[in-house]
Amino acid sequence: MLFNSIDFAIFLPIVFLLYWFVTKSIKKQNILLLVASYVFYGWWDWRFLSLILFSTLVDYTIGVLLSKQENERKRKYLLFTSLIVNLGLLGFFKYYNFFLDNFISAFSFFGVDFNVSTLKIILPVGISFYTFQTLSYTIDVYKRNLEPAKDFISFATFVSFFPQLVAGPIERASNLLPQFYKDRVFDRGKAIDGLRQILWGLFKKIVIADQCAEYANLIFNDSGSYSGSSLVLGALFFTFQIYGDFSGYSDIAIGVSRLFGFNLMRNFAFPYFSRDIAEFWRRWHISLSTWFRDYLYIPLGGSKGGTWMKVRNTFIIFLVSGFWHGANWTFVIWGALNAIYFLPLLLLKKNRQNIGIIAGDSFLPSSRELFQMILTFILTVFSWIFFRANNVSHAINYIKGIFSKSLFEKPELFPVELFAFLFIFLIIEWFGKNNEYGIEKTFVTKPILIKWAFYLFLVICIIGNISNEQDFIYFQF
Amino acid sequence: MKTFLLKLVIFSILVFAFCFALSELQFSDDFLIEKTKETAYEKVGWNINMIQNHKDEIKNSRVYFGSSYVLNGVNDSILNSKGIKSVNLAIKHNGNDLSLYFLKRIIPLQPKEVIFLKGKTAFRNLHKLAPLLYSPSNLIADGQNFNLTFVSYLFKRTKLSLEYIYFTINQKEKEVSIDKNKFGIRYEESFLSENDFYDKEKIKELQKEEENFNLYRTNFLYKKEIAKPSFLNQIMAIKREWTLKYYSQNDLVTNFKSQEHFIKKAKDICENNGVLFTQLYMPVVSDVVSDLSGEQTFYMPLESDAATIYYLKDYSFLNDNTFWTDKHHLTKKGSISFTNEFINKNLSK
Repeated sequence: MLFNSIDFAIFLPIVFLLYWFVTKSIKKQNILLLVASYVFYGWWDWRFLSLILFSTLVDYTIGVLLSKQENERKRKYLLFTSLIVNLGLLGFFKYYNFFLDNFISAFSFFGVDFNVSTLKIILPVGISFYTFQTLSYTIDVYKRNLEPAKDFISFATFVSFFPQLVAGPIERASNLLPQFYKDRVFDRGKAIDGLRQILWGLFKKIVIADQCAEYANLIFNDSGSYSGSSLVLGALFFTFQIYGDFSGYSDIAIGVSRLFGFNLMRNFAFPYFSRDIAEFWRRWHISLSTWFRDYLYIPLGGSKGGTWMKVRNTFIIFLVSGFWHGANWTFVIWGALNAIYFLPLLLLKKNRQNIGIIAGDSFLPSSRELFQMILTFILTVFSWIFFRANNVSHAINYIKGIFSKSLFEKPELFPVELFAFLFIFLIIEWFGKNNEYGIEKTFVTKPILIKWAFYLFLVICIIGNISNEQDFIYFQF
Repeated sequence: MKTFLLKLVIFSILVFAFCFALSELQFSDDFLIEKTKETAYEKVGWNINMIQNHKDEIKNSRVYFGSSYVLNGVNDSILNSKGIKSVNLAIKHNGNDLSLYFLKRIIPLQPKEVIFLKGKTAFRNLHKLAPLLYSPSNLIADGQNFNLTFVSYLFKRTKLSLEYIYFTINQKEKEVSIDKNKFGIRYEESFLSENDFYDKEKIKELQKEEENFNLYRTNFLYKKEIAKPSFLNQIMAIKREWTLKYYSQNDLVTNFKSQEHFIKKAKDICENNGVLFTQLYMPVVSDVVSDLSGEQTFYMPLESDAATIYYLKDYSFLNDNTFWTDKHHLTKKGSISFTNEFINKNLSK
């Protein structure tokens, strides 16, 4: 079920009313959320519910066994069992054909031909997200940082919680799981804030991402026919598409959770206003970046060792992060590019020089900040070309196309309305950058007429830009 | 909680009222033509051109409305060549609302007979062009109920209204081009392969399709189940019956009743203007299969049905893959054959 669909517009109020009016106890509320989550997921393909259920059963059992087991060796076996099962499923569904293709290509390079046919494997929606979520639980229990789940229903609901099940934020068990044990009392302020964030998420998705997608797809799908200037625009549109799409989803997920009395972690913090790549990665897909930091980078030694170790760990984390996005070399190169951007900052110990938001206390950034922000943005746009391209040669040809004589020609496409929307969007985000999300405080203290007029404006923009229900990009990951 | 819900309801009503008001903008014909240009619905431009510039062609004609079944199948070129003055105003996709819209526009031109498509089953949605052609008040006046289909329609209409405002601002630059075909039929040249048409497995599938369709006539039991009655089969039959009654024909979930209202409205308009209102059943491949096996073809009777529904008792003359572009649509050759048979069996009487 898509957040931007009529189905969801019916589903959400029904679950909301049942949750607050019919099910009064925590247990009943959790059961309702579990059923709702399974319906939400099963709407795509009910067969894959068995995968979620299997992962849930395995990790719940291992969590219980870990808490009872004192023998360190046996505890390690249990942890490995969870890793093998979860990563095994992820590897099979997501990477099987990729590895097989590359294996065959590598051998054919040496003159050995294999006739192995690839399998037609459908990638279960959101498998990368819920796999990482359950893994974080098992690892935390193993490290004794977390008590195992108190009951199966709470744990199953934690794994499948519908607002963030298919595209995050990837929640930590230590944050989300305890919320299933506590009494949830309806908080009007929290619910209104949730609705506001849903509205902003829909605006980002439907007005910004879907409209940018239209032009980005046109240009990327036929990149050979466009001038360099249009190719730059195509990369720019994709840059806003992926941000609007993914952060829009996160906003809706966080907003929906708030309607049910839950707090999810922040996933985006105005990444395109970053002054360097290190800051960008602290603001982009925060739940994944911190997951890799805590469960991969730090166990590998982090930045504590010598230079070689720092370089190695940085590359590992960025390459794995790229590979997490999909079984394609383009994602790996995208990760490597970001590692190259990041490394000088790490080695010069400047990776933590920009912690707070840009121009936090002032209206405009300084000229130095502006320059840094633009430079970081350009580097990001460049790396997104690899992320969006169909394959490596497509990306290279795209970049070659940009750096041609036609770079200075008038672009073939110049959608004025879309630029107007992007301008409005950036202005709102800039004024809201000190808050959790763009419109958290916009006109909140103003009279109701002004406030509602603003919300009505956003709703009309959303309705005015509705095309067919468009999938969210991150569903494929 | 109460305050929260109350505010939410008030805000939703406000959004709804705003959308409704904005959607009341009446779109010009130029906009309709422009929006449908180079789409599957390009025929809209041809229809409008007929109504505006070829009024005599419609006067005293038999005017055919419906979906692609009629668009590809009722050959007005053949009909006219045989002295039966006819115009095919069908447009792709199902929905009596679209037929009613054009019917209201041609009534002043005094057609002789208006022929709507009679579907095998009831239409259960709005035509995809409804948001373009109807303002909300007009749609409600024609019989649309307030349901999910209407809410979805209203959002689409709002979007189109915003586009229309933009269109009127920039209209000077636009040039409206119109499809110049002489007749309303649109031919499909590609046809089904012999394998697709004669394959036994595919025929079995079609027979199954036909059996599924006819369940309402057999107390919702399949032939196998009738031969071996059991309690479980009866339960399944009840389930099927309830699905039809309470889901497929539920006007909150589908648009079944509103589609019935559109037909009734069309009948009233014709009656008040002295125009004959009839319906035409268009065959599909499964009809040919069931006729060849000796089983009669049926369409589902509905309360709104016209007094006269044209259909042929036997469609086995369409037993050739070159007559069909797919399981539901006739090719050029098929349309010629069908129209000739239709003239001989129905119109010549």
